[in-house]
Amino acid sequence: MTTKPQAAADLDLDIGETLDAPDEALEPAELRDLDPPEHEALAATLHRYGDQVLAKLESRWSLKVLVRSDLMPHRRVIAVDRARLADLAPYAPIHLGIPIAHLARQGARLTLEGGAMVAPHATRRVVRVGEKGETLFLYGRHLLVKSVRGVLGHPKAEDAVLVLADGDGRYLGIGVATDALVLMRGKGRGSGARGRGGDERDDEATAVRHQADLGLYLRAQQAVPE
Amino acid sequence: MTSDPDASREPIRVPPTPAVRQWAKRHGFTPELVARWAAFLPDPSEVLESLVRPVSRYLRVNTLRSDVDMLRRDLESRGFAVTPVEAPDPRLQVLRLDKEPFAVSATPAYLSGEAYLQDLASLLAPAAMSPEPGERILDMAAAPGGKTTAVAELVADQASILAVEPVPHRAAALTANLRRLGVAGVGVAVRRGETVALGRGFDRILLDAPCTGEGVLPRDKNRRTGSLDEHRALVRLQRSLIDHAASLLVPGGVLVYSTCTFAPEECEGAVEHAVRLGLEPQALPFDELNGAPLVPALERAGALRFPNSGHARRAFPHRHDTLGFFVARLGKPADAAEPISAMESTSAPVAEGVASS
Repeated sequence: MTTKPQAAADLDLDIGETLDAPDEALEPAELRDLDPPEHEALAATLHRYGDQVLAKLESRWSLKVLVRSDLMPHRRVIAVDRARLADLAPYAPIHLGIPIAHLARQGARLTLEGGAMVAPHATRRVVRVGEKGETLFLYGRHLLVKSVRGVLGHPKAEDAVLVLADGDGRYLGIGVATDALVLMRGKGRGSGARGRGGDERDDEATAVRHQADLGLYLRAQQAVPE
Repeated sequence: MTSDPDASREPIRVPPTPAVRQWAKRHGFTPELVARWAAFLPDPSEVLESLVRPVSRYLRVNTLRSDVDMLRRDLESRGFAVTPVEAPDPRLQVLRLDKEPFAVSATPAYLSGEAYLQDLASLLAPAAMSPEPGERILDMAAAPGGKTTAVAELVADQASILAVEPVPHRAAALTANLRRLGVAGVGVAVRRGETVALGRGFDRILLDAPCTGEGVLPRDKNRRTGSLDEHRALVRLQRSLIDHAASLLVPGGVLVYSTCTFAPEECEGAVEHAVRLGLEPQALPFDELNGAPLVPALERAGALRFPNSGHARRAFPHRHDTLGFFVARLGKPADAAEPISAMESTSAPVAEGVASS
């Protein structure tokens, strides 16, 4: 059953706010460097997933802030190749590179793609799911205990977690850990073993609340013909 | 007989014969449209019959995330039947959907951005550009992003692509597709193609022009009742976009002009206009699609002649099992010292139909 998501602190459900924008001209965006507080906020968010995540991203990409000041003002951290930046920044694009986080007063919040970029480097807050769970999650459903195949790190209840397919490691999206997931870890499940020690467990309990999955791009998109 | 540009902006009107009227009425088409196709297109009977039958559906593999074998295995494990088909460029990988137990867009692979539903003929345009990594590329009418993302795949996402779309909700769809497919090398600008700033210029430009869309008829019954009145405004817009594209190209750069319509005013007529600006027709890097030769562009239609369109090609539903498509490739002379301006053309005054920056 899909319920309205309760956003965790470091999650941004943004998949493109322009999907709901009325049919009016959009102002060009401003592109600039992260200022020290913004960099610190981003570092704090990414550190939750691993010690070297930010460093690895910065070694490969140029991280910039794309500032939109039109109907829905916001600041977004984008990862962009340095050569692309030089070529395309002069055209004041409203979208460039890969948006990885949204900057707000509360700090930096991962976008769906941000999760995808973090996932290969993450050493904690990762949940792997079986095939059935993968399909259900991509349709916007919560993950049940019985779908969980493994967990990296020790997420607490209400922590944001990255969801990956167990078979091929494909990134699926972002969720929020529940008490049931924490309980699984505490009773020896979640690192590959199932049902050790004869503990009672509720396989039908929600282990990860769905927040955002890659299917959102299609579900939210208006049909636009080629 | 004339290749006068002003004349080519008026739609060619052909009086429908009784047989044409009867066929049009039976199938719900505007008779004047059917009369034009019967008069201008090769194999008119086959063309008309093909417009009321479906064509195959195709899935382009997102090579930034997957490959044809992986996707094929994944889909077949879910009950789909697919067949690899040859794409116009070997860097592109395409599957034909032969059996869909449920919507392919609902599969995890599709949702994860590993594939894009796209007609095979529309890949002629990105393939015609022969884009290379490191280039600056402009897509002048990019939404919803099928060709834009195909170009990105051709260059392994290693080129700078500016994708332009004037309508905000279409730009949003374009952005969503870029994000779904994980393309990093594209910037989206919400503006009209005629208002893109010159900057350093572009090595390649794709102008898949807004058009009357007659080639989409096998999939879109709504277009059966189109009107010839739409042609004039669209022709004006297409000319304006070509004018600006010519000025944005660097010397030696390539413009690919394409449409999904049969209307010669919007196809061969546009090529003639581009040639009058000083662009040079170039041979396409392919000559067949889906195992069948592409059809050469028209040499004439009504009173119009198209002497410079010989390199352009057309795809037809009945020959290629695709939607209808037109593609032409033009080059800016390598020794062009200055950007070619529409002010220097012999066509109608620039002010007509050209938006101010």
